Amino acid sequence: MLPAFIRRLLSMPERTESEPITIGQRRVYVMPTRQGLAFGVCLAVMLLGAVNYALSLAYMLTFLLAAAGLVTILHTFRNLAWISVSAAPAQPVFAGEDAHFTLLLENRARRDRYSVRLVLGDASTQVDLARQSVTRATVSAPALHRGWQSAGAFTLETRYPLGLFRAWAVLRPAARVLVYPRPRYGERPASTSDAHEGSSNRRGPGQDEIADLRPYRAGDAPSLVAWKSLARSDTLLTRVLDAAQARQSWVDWDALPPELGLEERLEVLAGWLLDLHEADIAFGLRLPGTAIEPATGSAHAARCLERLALFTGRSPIRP
Amino acid sequence: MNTAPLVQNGMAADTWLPDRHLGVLLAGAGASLLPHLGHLPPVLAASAGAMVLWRALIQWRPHLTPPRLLLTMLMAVGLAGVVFSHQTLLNRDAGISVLAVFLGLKLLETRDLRDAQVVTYLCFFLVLTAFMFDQSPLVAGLSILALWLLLGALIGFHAEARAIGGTLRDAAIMLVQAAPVMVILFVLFPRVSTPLWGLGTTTGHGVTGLSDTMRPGSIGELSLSDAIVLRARFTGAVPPRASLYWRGPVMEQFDGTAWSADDSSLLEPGDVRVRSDERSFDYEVTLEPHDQTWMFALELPKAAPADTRYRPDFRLAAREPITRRIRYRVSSSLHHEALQNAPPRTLRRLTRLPGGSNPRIAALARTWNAEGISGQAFVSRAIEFFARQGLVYTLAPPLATTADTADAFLFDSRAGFCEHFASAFTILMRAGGIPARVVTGYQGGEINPVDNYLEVRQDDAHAWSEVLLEGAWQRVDPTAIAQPLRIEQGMARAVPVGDPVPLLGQPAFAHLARWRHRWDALGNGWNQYVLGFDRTRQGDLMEALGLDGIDHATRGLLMMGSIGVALALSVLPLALPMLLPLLRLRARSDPAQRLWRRFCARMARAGLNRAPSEGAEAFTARIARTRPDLASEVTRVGQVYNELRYGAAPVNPERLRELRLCIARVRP
Repeated sequence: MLPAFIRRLLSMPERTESEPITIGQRRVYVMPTRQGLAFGVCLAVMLLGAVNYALSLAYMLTFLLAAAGLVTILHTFRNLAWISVSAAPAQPVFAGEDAHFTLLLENRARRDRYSVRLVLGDASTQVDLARQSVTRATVSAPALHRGWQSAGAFTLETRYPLGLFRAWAVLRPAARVLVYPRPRYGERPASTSDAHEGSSNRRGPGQDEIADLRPYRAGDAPSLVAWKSLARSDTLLTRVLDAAQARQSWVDWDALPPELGLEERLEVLAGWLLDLHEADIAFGLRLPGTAIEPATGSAHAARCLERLALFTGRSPIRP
Repeated sequence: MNTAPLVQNGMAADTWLPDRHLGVLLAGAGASLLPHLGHLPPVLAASAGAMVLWRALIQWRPHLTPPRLLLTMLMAVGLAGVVFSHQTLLNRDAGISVLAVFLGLKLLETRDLRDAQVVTYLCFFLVLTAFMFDQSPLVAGLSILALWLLLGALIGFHAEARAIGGTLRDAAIMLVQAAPVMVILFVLFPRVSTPLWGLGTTTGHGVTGLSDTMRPGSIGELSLSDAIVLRARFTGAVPPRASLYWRGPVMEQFDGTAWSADDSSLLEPGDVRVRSDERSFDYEVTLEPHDQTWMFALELPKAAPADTRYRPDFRLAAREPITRRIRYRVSSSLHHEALQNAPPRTLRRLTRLPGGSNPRIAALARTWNAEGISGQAFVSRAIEFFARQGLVYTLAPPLATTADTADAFLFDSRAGFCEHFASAFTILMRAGGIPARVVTGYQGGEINPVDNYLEVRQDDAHAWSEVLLEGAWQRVDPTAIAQPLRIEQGMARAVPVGDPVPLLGQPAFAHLARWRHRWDALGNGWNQYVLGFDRTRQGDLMEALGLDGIDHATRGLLMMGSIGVALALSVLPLALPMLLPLLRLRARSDPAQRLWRRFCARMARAGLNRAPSEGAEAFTARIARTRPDLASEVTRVGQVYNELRYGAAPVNPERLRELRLCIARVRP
């Protein structure tokens, strides 16, 4: 990481910038690539030949190529300058997955731009920007920890047209992604009638009674497939849980064993919650100091997961 | 259409180049090889071409890709071929062959962008080396074509989805934009006059021209060629045609049939002196390469140009064989005395004849000597004899049947070309005891009315005699005595109709000759101003521009400054559409908008950012909701601003003041 004053000198943004970010000419850096340096060496050798043999046309060829090299600096620069960049909202992901950051690259110019590469960390993607259009460019970065994860600095670069020069600009759009805790399945409390009084009338989804079996429909959660009956009858059946029971399901912080740490606890809660959601069971979420009333649907699940992702509660848990 | 395939994780570009751009690259490689076909060993040229085609085939049938082992073997075979053809790897021609082989092999293993880039660089070198052999406009045009294709291919590889119409158009635009900078560099880049290292061995390219021996028929052969030998531009008046004797090799040795020039002249340098009159002709000669050291100048040059020798036989000689077009300034005097102050023993060698050769001429000289004729009288007698002998000047003399060709010419056939005349006359002189020698060169030349250069062609080749009388050399042109037309109007008009003269030299083709003049002038312009742009020309140009006194630093600054201007001008048409929106933005910013911006900035400092999609009304409404304390002022600001910006009435200064006051009152 460069010291702040150098970053300022290079007008590299330190903080998230407001969007749309227009890549002004002062933000575009142009440097020769390795191919460009090799080209320079070639030109030097050609010039030596021209001087030695006093060949006017060799001088001309060398100078024409050198001039074309100079002209490409401007072309490369022009291919990048004045692109407007804004971040599209990123889909939340679970920790451990890849977050996909999509930037909208707007080319307001009346000419096409080619081979503009968006780089984020080790990932990059290359797009052509048609004239007066908006193009989406998506790069992925691993989502590591729950909570808001900022994409950090993107680099937009291009080597068009001859690959002799690389023009780039560093951008910090407000690209961030909500990272849910990595769901941990199958670690729910064995029984709900344990430790805490307050949870005695709530039951985990694992204990739901099976009310019925119905034929499998595409999209049914794997955890609800009646695998045993599949073994028996070769037909996929889905367990239909007791709706009355399900309506009362609470995903409860306090239902978990006290020895679990904060992160593990959130991960288990996420897995639990997802199971219920996939089973289409209404559930509520209870965390220390906050609660979400039972409901169903993706929006509800997303709201609950967001609450988990942003939970900053106590740790370690009181006994 | 605008999303290219997603390339993840910094992987290099595709490992297979798109067909169409590869096709352009191969065409560019072909165009770079084309000018070399003339001088590359045919086997190597053919294999380089075959490898270009092979690479094209690989694109269709990838299984034809040669494995690495095969490539290595091909490389070994190729290098062996170069050694076999050139006997070495280390001279210039061999180097070019190696380059061609490398290009072919590199093409065979070209599969990604980096390979393609190396291929284009190799091609650039190949194009450059072609100029060592030929700098004609044709080769220059071919090079531009190659460059265009190669740049087009490179653009294509960096924008794979593009069609070649677009990439080639962009390549052409780039070349056009680069041209002004190229011209500036070409004009201002300092030139050196000496090579940095050896120029390598240059084998003779079989150039026709005078040689250092003259035997019957050798000059007659030249008269069939109308190739240009030299061009001269006179600063002042052009001498009359009859005085245009371009002095070339001087022959002092005679073996009975052939005259030859010995590079070590019989005469000592200290023994000659030129006494000339005041009148002199200044001119600049552009001499075509002829692989010999002699340089031509009108008789007699007053002094040698730099880097040349002025030999004791009054001719100019370069230090090295002239293998490229050179240019030199000479000043000649047409009325002069060429004084020779050699010891009598040396002079006697100039009267030496092989014993028993041409007995009839020897007998004639003896008769005259017996009559007491010698010296100037002897020369006059000989001239008279030549005039009366009825000698025919022809390009097609009958074949001599004896070894004594001069005898046969003077007494039997009486028909010959200038070398017969000069040879017979000189033999007669020597037989009479007068020191004499043969001078070869060119006589005449024709002013090209298009560019006023005097053009001297191979068919102007001539030979004449020089006799030494009373310590001074005198020119005697026996051809002029027998056939004055040769000197006054040129060879083509002097020889009998039906002689094989060059087509365009014939009077009947005068209108064609006009076109030739234009063509030659074009070629000369190319030679003089493009190919011949050297240190001298550069100096002249700088002087004409008033830039001759500047030092290196100023010159460098001038160069960079003008390149900057040229770049700006050539790219400006591109930059304009980019700048226009900015200009329009500035123009649009009226006072109300400026006030509004100030307001927005103030709000932003208070943490109230206007979203880009928010209009004035929406923004102020939002502020009014979130900050009820500001509601009344802010709402007023929104109303007045909207009215000023979008209202039908013209902007009212009163209202503008109101907006300013409203904004001032808002203190978040």
